[in-house]
Amino acid sequence: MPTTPQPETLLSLKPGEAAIIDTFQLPEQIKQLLVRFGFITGAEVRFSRPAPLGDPLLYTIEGSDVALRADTARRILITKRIAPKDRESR
Amino acid sequence: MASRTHLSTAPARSPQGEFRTVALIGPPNSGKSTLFNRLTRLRQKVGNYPGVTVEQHTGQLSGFRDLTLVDLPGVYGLEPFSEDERVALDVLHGRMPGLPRPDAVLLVLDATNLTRQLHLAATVIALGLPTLVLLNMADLFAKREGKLDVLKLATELGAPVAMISAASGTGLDAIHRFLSRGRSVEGPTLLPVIPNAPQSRQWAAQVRTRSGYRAPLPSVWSRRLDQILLHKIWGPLIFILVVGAVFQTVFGIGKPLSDGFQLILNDVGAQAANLLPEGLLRSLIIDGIWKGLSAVLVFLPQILLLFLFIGLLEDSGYLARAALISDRTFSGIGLNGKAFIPLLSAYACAVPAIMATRTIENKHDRFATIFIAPFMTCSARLPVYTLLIAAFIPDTPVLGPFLNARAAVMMSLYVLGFVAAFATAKLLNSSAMKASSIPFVLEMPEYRLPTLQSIALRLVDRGTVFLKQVGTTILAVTLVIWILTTLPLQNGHAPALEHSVIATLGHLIEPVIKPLGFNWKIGVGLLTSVVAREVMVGTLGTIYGTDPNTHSLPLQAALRGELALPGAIALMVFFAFAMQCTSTLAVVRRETNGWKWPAIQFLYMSGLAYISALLVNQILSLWW
Repeated sequence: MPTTPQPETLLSLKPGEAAIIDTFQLPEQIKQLLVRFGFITGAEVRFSRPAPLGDPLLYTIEGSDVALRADTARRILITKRIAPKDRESR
Repeated sequence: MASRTHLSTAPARSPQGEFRTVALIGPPNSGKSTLFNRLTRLRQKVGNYPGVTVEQHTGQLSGFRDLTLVDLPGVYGLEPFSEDERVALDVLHGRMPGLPRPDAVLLVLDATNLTRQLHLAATVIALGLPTLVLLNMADLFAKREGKLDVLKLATELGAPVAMISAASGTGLDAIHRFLSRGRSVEGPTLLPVIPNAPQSRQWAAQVRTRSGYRAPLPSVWSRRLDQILLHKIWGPLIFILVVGAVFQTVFGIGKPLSDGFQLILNDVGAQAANLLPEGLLRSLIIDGIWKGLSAVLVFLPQILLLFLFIGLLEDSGYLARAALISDRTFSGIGLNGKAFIPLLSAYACAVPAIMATRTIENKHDRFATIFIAPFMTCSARLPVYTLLIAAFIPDTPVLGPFLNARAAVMMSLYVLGFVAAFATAKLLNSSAMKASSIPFVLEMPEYRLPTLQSIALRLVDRGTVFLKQVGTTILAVTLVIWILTTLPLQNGHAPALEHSVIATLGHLIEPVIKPLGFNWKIGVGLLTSVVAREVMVGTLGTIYGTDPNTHSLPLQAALRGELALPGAIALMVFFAFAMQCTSTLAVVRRETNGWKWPAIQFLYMSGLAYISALLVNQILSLWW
């Protein structure tokens, strides 16, 4: 359950938009699985594209694309980056 | 292939003793298997088959006499989430029966994707075994302007590091040097501390900075290809075209290949028959063994073609995209996109398919995938379908030049298996097996050109497995059938088929299968095909081959006199559903740790097969 009025999640990103991960509303075990791919508080994530049928969604993190289902993405809270998006480098 | 730098052939020795067992570990898509194949050349043992209950590939290392290299499944970490990771962890701790604890570890990482992989590096190095870190794809890394101070990275990791390219074979001398030092190699000097994820990440960030790592530019090609292959409209369209092309080729090109192969096999049989004197021996070799074996052998071309495609799709990186595209559909029946890879493999054979489910972390999804995989039309059903279709279905057009009746029936049988699989998955999803909570997470590898070497090795693997099956199980069953058709001997000659032991057995089960439209000969085939589906064809080949009435007829013509059309269709439906494969049952037992699941699976599938075949025969018999 969201505690703040309208928290932004990975799901609210538009293709090409980047954000910093804040918190996870997910069980510890799942956080452990996600951290392997770089999903951790403070990490920068960019929404790459949805899969052709709309779900799962591809996020660029640590230089490669990782697919998450919308159901998982909506439980990862973020702060959007205001800086204009530059060519992703590393 | 440039193999200048491959391991020298001088046997390595060291005073402290040689390494005996060395584990090769790395994340998926790090090029680990390519390296394994290059290091061991063809001297590898593939254990991916029941009976040989070794899950890993092990191989003798070129240049080392007593060194076994164990190729572990691709893993992201050792926490462990998936069955693959559990296996890797067990091997590294020496908990795998029949495999000693490794003396050393070769850790393969993709240099172009190092950031993510430092986590695995930390876990592996922390085991304390002598470890050589191999940064693969060094050529790509340099080309795309990546930077790294190898010596500094080695200091940070506390383990030696070498840049290599498994695909071109450069830098592999470092492996040789490492291994030839044997047990004089010390373990890591300092172990990375990884009490929790944030600290492990902090450590990784520090390692990256101190070793001057600059990630290479992202692959332009992968981005561009994804724009097309994951496009809203083109993506699914190409997906369907790819799957369609696979089947079209396997059956369009595979069929004439198989037919040609059949002609050769028949010819060999006929030539051999001329050389042998008339009598029991000739009957044994030609009518018994050769007819039984060649009935199955003819499917080798089609099986190899199917595995060729699976290899191409997997090595190119498209299979991960296919999983992504199909995830939405799979989620509707309570599975996930990772089921795509096993289920596609199941069209070749359920056994490797069930092994491939080990990458699925979610336990419900994995068990459900294992449960439905045998419904996919595996290549062992092909001999049965092809034979029955050729015997009973006329070669008439249905949809003009596009589809004839035979192709339509074949396609319907594929659809039938597919529908049964999906309906069963849906049933499992709504039943007591509630989904556990591990979500679908899948990394998209970069697109790569498959190497000839890797594809060729896969085909050799699968071909060997198939030929072994033909040479052992099928040969044995064929022999038993021939003996049963030859006993009891009358004046040193085989009795008329009606008076043979096999006829007695067949008549015993006839009452059960008569309502399905099958006679006792088919019944014998059903009995023997519990071992493996294709044995049915071998068995019928032997029975009709020894029966003087049908001896000279091709098998199809012989069958036409034995089965009515409703019975033939019922038989096809029976094969679409029935669980006739001891190899699959054995692998399910192993993968689910017990007899419960294979027992349920056997009863469910066989029950479904019997009832469906009964209905088909009874209903169709009203018209024919």
